[in-house]
Amino acid sequence: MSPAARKKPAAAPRRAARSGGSFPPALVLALLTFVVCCACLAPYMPDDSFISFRYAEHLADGHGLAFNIGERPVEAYSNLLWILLCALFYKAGMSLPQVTPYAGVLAGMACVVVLWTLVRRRAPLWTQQLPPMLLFAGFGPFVLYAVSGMETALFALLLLLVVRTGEDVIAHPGAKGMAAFTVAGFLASLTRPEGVLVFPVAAALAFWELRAADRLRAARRTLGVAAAAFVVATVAYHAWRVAYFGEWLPTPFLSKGAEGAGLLSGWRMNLSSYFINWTYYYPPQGYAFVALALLGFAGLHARVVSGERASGDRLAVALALVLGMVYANFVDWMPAMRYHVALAGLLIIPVASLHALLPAAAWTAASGARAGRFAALVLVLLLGGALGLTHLKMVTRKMTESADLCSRPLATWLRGNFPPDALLAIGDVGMVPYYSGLRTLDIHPQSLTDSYIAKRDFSADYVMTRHPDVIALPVRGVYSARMDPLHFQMYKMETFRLRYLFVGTVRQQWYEDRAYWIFVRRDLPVPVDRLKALPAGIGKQHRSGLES
Amino acid sequence: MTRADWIALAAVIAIFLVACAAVGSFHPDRAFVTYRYAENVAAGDGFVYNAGDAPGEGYASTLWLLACAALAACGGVLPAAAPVLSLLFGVVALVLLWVLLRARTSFPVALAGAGFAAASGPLAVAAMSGEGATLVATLGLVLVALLARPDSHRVTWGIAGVAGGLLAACGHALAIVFPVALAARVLVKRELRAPARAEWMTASGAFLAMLLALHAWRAHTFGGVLAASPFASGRVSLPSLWLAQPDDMAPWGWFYALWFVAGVAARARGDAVCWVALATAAATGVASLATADALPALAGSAALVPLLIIPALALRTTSAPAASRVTAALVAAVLMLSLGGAADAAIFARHLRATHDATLKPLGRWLSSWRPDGSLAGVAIGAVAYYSGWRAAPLDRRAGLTAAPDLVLVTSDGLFAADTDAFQSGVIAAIDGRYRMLAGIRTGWTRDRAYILYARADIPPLTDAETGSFPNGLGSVTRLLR
Repeated sequence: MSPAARKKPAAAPRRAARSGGSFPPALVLALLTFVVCCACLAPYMPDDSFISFRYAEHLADGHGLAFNIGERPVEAYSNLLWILLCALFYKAGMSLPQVTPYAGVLAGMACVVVLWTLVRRRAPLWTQQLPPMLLFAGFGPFVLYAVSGMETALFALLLLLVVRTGEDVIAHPGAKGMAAFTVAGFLASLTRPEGVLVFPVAAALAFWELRAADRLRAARRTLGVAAAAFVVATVAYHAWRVAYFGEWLPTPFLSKGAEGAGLLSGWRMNLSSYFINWTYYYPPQGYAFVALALLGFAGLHARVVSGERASGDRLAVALALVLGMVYANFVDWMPAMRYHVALAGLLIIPVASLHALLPAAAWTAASGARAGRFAALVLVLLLGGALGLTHLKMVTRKMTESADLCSRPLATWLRGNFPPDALLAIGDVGMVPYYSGLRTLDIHPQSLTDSYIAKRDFSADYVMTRHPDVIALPVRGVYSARMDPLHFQMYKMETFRLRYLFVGTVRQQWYEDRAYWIFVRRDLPVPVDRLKALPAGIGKQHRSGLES
Repeated sequence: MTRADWIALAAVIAIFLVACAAVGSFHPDRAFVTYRYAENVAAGDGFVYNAGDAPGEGYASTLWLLACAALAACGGVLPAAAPVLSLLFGVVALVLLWVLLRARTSFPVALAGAGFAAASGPLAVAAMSGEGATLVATLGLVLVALLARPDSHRVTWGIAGVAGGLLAACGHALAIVFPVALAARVLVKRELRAPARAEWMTASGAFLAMLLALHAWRAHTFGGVLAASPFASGRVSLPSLWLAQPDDMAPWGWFYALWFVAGVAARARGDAVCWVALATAAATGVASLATADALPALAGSAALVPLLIIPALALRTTSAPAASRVTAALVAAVLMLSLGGAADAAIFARHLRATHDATLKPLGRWLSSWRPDGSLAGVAIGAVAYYSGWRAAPLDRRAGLTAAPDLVLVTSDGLFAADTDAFQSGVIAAIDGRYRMLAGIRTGWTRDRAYILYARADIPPLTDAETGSFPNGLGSVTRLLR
């Protein structure tokens, strides 16, 4: 036996003792915590999830990437890879509202695993790994969007994979690692539009790190090939996209900012939401993200000063910073900063280095007192996570109540009373259109699925020319109407009054009596008693327009 | 204190004021009960809720009531002045906390701890509530400072006993705090026997004298030592600590549990300050379970925040490379998290403010203009009774409606379809025929919380002018019946 071969068996048990070997306690406990937290926050499925479901089902049924069957395709989604996955699930006979939360939880669990592989590089002992892992596994906003049926956990996973492979590439530049790095970067660009920035930022940082380490010469060729492959694939994808949809930008980009005044107003509105008042109920989460970022910066600084390799930490922080700045431009109406959620894993990577603040002996449970303090630290992290989770649970409870009492019953009523080719005009184009199955005109002033409104703003004349069969106006008030001024303009139009009959209100939120005011075309042959069966929505306040 | 200490303390107070500004002024309904008692005391009517009635102990904190009465006697308008007083006690508590922390931890650690307390939601909410939680925090810290002094003089022990007695005057259940804190000190320092025995006996004597005096006065004034508060809001329910507080406020039990665990884990063996603070916090926490906490962030227990921070900050760190910058970042992170708590609590304080401004105050004023000498009975009669000036009595859950007031006020989930608890449904059934529904006015968004008002049948219907001036209430939807 060679000396090297003789050494090998001795090294393995030492590694096992450090990280827990085949039973890594930090990973197992983090996975367990994550799953329990998911079970606590579920169900939570925001309206936007259903936009993806509708696209995925239409795609799987052979209608292409169209929001309304038979109409020109509109790029109203911002998560192509997730839609493709959903289409596969649907093709396999699964119900998307049922299966996607599980898919999200699986993606979240994969995030925990990938994060753990990064954390253990920075913290050799399982006791050192556990605090950052629990911080991630119990981070309420991440858990919330893992169960939401949205693409967030998948994107977070790809970001972590980019950092993981990027760190490998910087340490050992080779063709295989570079291919994995490029594929992860490209998949990120397919998952979210802003994902197109991920690979360029990561590759530029890898270039800089390799040059600083004097290893650029060896890596130049593979890095160049990877960059070229990414560029070719990205150009091909966008060429297809523009050819398919006939637009340079997806409609959410046109309606939610990213140009001119929208850029500044997006920042202003987001900062107010993140730190002061996120609607009436949502707790402002900006503080938690800033605290996480500060911990990340502290970990990165500690690592740099201690002279340890910090390429992965720099990459993670750089990606988090760039994407965080991008996200501030897009108005985020949903609770818990859904765009930023994917960055949590990135920020926790450098946090793993903070164990050096305590002496090494503090992390070995050699005495009862140390074990007790470690247990207390774990308990503090769990209690902190529970504090955040219970706050978010109150939000999800309200949103689920709204879905169960308002959106789904309204959709069922629409499905039962109108033919599938009827046109529904509504501002929330997720759940109600999905469950009703009606063709839908998005009349939100920041329209997602209607390119005309997204590009030119809401126009009452335009809506009237589309002759919707049913109009669901979002209104604050059951008895007195506070509408969006643009919707109010339409409501006051003579044509509107003559053409549409007010059927009643369906309340969707307690706060401000937010409700849909339902109008139906007067010339439709729907019996009055069926119209009268309009659901009341949340609470006992309901107004019928048919009583006289 | 060095110059840096003064600057840091000023910064801590500035953070506290920012957090308080974020929460903003708000008026919990319960605070008005104290205000009304205090104004009657200041006016020389004694400890009565309605002038001319027999004295009744319908308030929670005698000491806070006396402080409010002093303000009222000086011409202060209590809804405006009482929050200023609770804010001042909050500042005093922070100064005490800073002194305690600086005596035993490094500058950055003390800054982190005091900064956290200053920015934390519970303390800011308590300071703006006009209730006495910050007074309890101040007295608790005084107790810790006095009991934990290594060179205690007998006078110091005596003052500690007085502080314990004052705490007992802030709430009956708080009488347990001093004995528990004293026991912690004596056991940690192993002072059970002479010569230290004389000192803690002095403290105990002072405390018992205070307690006896308080209860002798209560027995004399109210006619019984065990006079139950007719306003008692019941014991705290455990789900409200962990799942959701009433009125859909976020549960903060996790927050206090977190700091308690941190305090227990970090306490140093033989460290009297740690143990006394922990014992004082534990006893205060147990005492707070005696009554339901209707404040956002469970701010009725805000005294626990500074008390638990003291032992939790006994953690030692290393002199790792770049430790100072990393520590600064950690301090900033902790500060951010605590500001997040204040911002979160501010949401619920805003809800209460909206209810007060849109419904309670206008309704009280309208009642006052409608019938200047009216009378009212209901389960929630703090602000409405205060602003109307009407004689008011709580609905007794055992006896029901015993008199015939002009108005019966029922709390309901639902403005148009009254959905009340079993007790109030019984009251509505009992007054049917003798009373008619007058109006409904919304008090909260969730579940359409509302007050439904029933007027005695012999009272004339509202005139057009009275109908026209009836307040719109929260959401501008009222149910007004003529």
